[in-house]
Amino acid sequence: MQSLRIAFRNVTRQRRRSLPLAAAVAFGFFVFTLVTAFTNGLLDSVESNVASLTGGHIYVSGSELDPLGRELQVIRDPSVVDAAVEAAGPAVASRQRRSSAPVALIAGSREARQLVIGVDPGRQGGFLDGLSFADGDPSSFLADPTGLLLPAETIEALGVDVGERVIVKATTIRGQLNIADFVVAGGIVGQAALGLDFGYAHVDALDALLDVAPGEVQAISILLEDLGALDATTDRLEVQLAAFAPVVRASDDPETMPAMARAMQGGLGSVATEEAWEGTRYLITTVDDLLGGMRDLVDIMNATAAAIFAVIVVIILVGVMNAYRMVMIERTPEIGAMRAMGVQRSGIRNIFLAEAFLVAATGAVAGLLLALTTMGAVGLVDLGSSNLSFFLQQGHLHFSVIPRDAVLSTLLVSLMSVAAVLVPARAAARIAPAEALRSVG
Amino acid sequence: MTPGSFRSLPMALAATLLACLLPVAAAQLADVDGLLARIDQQGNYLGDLSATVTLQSIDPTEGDERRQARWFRRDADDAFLILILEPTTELGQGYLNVEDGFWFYDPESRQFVYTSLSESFEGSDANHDDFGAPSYADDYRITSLTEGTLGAYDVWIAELEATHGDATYPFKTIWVSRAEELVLKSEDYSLTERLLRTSYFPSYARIGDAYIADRMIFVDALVPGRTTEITISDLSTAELPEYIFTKAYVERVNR
Repeated sequence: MQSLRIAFRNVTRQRRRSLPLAAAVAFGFFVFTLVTAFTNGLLDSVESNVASLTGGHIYVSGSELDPLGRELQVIRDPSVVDAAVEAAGPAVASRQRRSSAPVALIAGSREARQLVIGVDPGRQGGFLDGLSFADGDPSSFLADPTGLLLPAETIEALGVDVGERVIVKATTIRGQLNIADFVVAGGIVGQAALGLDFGYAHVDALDALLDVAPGEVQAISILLEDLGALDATTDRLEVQLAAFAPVVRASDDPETMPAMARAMQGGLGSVATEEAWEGTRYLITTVDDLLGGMRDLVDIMNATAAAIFAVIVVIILVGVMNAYRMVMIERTPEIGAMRAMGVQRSGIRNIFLAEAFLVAATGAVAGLLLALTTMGAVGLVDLGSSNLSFFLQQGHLHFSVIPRDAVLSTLLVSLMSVAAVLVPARAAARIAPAEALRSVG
Repeated sequence: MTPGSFRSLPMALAATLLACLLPVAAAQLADVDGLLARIDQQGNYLGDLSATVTLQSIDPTEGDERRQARWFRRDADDAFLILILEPTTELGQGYLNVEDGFWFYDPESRQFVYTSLSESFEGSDANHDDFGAPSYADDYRITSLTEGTLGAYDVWIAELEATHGDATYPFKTIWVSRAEELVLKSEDYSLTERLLRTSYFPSYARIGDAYIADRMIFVDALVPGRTTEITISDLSTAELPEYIFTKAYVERVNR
């Protein structure tokens, strides 16, 4: 305790040395914390927005074979999925049915292609809040069962205004052509660059267009309370569904993803006789399957940030070690006096180690506080509706600091500083009192 | 028939007339029963076909477009292949319909992508399945049949309803010449029974016992002023090698 008190006094008395060292640690910690919080926040935002756009974190779609061996994307008996979801555990917050189809939109002599998702905004709270409206508002969509939300670029290509009627032409789940009238209820900011440039219709209206009978569904999206339960819930859901029908996990069979993409394109795939199945086959896809590339990118960014941090820490530690070699030389008379007064070698060593710990810990905490302040300030900036909105939360950059990681990083930096000072500390402890006192002078 | 069966002479005359006409009507109905099958039979050629296809699209918004392609067809296997020749930016793109599905080949990505026969061909009003052999008898049943005229032709006007959910158009009305039993006009309807397009087949080429429409005009019912005209030229019945209807050939022809 005495060593700690003396160390604290030394650190505060020798500010010219302590402050630059602490500032260097703070800078390294600031950069590392900011970058990792940014990338983790980016992933959180994208996951949250994907969950909002797709209606959940787990997606169950079904397909069956028609007499010609063609794969039809439909779940005839959704109660099977409902029962499996009920049994899959308590992490499920809600579930809603979804449809999707590539359609041709026709207004006057203009035509545009658009992938349209059928949603049930009444059951998926917050879905409309997750969209950025460029024109119109959510209430128009909610009020009109034939309402259609389209990317602003599509509305421009069609030359229509919000409130105008368009003809929607699509291929039914069996491959027949069908058309119906819809009303443009709003223009939204699309995410064409990310391949998520969707339009939205009410699922009942889209199902009618696609000839999905009442009571049947194309897919069911499952929203979880806690994304941490994703793997466990998906595993349990697979086991439950497998009791009734064949199940394929998108993560296990990459070939199923093209099939899913094909379904999104409205194509009817043919299935070889040896691969045929009876009844409905379920495909389970998770948000991780969709964001595999994004997650890899975040991992790479975090690894890069960690590498940069490691380099900064090494440079700082070399600086700390050299600084304390100098400290040892400067304090030789003081060390001699302390040893002459009965301070043990371990006491001298502990003073040095405690000083290094205090400087590093103070720097790390300062860096963390600075990073938190910067994040708070940047997070307040409203970036509005733009092509970046998919990476934002309600128009704001979101940073995610994991408290456990922050504490561990602070401890790690502090302990590494202690390790760096170990050599000069031992050298200081080994100085003979008589020799040290002779150097006074 | 016994005296007194009819109460008056006019009634008796009407009954006599009806009795005379019934065999004619019965014979006509018998003919009509096989109408769709006969249309299919005439439209299917037993050998191989190849030709140059020219597609002229008129679009009030997008402007006019001309495309040309080589077309290979083997009705016995229900197979066809279309290789785009023009525009040069799309040279080498191919549409292959074989047993395992209908594929689009993009020479840039060098990949085959599954697509649907009911989809529009190159964004025109023609569909991919317009390039295959007709299959009215398999896909439709007649719900109404009347006599009429179409220009100078005496025709059957048949309203059709798809017998299964796989036909591209759930409802159709076709005008069939009574003399040759060729489809001269077709109105194609959606599942919601709204007109999607009107097709005209003003010219047929006779090859053996088969008739192949060598001029087709598709008028879009949804986009006013948009039409597509397909002309088939250089029609050949020379036997085609087996490898023509393979993915390997579509890839190789691009190299």
